Amino acid sequence: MERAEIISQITAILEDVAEVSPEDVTESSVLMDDLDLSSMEILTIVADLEETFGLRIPEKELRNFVTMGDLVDYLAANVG
Amino acid sequence: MLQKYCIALEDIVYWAQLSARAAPRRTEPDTGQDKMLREGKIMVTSLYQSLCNMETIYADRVAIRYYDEAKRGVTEVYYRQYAQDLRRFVSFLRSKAGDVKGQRVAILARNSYHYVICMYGTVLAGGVAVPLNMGKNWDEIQYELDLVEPVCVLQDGEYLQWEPALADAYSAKLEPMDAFTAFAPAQDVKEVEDLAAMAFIMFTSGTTGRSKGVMLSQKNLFAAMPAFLNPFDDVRKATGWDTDKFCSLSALPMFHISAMTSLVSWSITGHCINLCNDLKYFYRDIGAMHSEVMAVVPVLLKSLYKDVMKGRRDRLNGLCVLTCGAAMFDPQMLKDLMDKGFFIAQMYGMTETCGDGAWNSSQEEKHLTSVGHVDNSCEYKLDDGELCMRGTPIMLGYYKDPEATAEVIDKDDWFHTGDIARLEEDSYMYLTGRKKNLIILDSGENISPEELEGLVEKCPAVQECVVKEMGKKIGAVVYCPQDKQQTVQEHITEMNRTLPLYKRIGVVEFSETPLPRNATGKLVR
Repeated sequence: MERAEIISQITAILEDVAEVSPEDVTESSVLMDDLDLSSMEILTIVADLEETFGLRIPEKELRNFVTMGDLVDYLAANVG
Repeated sequence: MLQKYCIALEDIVYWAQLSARAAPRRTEPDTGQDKMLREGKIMVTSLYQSLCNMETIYADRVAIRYYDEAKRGVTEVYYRQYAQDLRRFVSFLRSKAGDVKGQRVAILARNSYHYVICMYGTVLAGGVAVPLNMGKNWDEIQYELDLVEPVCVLQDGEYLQWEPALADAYSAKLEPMDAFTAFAPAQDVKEVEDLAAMAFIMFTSGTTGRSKGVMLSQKNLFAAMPAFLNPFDDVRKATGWDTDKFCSLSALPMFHISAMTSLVSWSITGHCINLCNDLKYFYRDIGAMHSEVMAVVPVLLKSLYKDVMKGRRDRLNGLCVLTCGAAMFDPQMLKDLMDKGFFIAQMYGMTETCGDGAWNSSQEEKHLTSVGHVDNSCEYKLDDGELCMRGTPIMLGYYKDPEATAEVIDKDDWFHTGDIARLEEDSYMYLTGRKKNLIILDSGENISPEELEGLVEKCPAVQECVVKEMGKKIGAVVYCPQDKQQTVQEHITEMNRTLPLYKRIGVVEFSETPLPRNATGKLVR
């Protein structure tokens, strides 16, 4: 899947779950700082990503998701 | 520990309408036990007595529901089966460790039905259950395991995935959570010899250094039960809802005192608990399991609040009573939810008091920020402004740490909570500050600032650092050369990758001058 398409899907979920405006999101955005996401919002976003991309994201990967880029990297590597 | 209840009175008609909508879903027979229990005619003072009730008066009721990943649907466990599984666990534990009286059994796993069995089965067998926080790193878990010297470590494989060192250190003691299912139910389970003996060790954040193991007995636990059961009288009286038919969604981690106590309180009244085993799937689970009640921490409440305010209340599938605890809540948010027909019960508690305390049944907005009235299970006093409690629910002490115990429990048995409180003339209590240097987050987690400061200071460019609560987040103020700020920022971003979500530093501020210190040379927080 194209990286741009992954970013578009994530920003749509971010907007839905946490009302984050897509223009405020870049790959270097820090999820809990720049985007002001709570831990609960990150979990809900991960669950929505699993459903959208049809995969299961293991618990241990959550620790690596610090920036938006981390999410995109993970999905780019794991989505067929 | 105090609890508080707040009810919107201004729209009685709406309450009545909501009451009709929140009609009971439970289909199990009503044996009249709820009423008897409520009136004090059924006394339960131990897990064994609760087990006996599960096998007799509650046998045909649903005890626990959970979403089963394998079958992609909800599984229901009746009290009869729940009790049999507890007995199976006793057989399993005896086969592994013989007489487990006083022996520690650690549990390191995600929430699950098996977790419930392992925790209470251990205590029924006479052992000491030690539920551990999966979010901690191996250094912390190893310290806690080494401290309690468990006879076995029950685990579901999750933690091993990212901390394989667990297998190296404890391979001989690791046991799968479902091992008990292969055993026959023990028929000779009986009351433990001493209900005042240690039955649980629950780790809590210390203000300095390592976490501390709070020792709790069954006597502590059951003395605290009225604090969890009585509030439902307030709900019933205020709303007219039939709380006897309520189900509770349990989404908080089972190593947390709130989850541990509510699993007991709902089972001694024969109610059903719906387990949400992974917060990630909260919306799936609440959608699949109709629940009226849920214990929440601020971060969860905020999510529910957004749903309600955005017109998505249907996602919450009948939820109408929120018991709020573990940290301070935004009063406006509570008021808005009350206006939308929720019953809000604010709970304030500590692991050391086994969750016991008091609650606020006020229905007035002016009391929204109060922690309410104390209850009858303990004595209370203010000592130089600090809230102190004395009574049966108070912990036995910190495990293998008499010095730390003596710091909080004085010679007259008063437990010093560390919370500064103010008592108003109308006997409503308000918390005004903390004596202890501890950050209490919206997730309910208690964080030691010193621990995180130590991690930040591992970056050589950092000259001084203070970690504190900054706008509901963990923030760090760092003094370092201006040209090193980027380096420090990157260090903190990398450091965050090693920490669980709740412990991450979310705000970093830089100071170009040394941080302020008080007269004794300590950094001002």
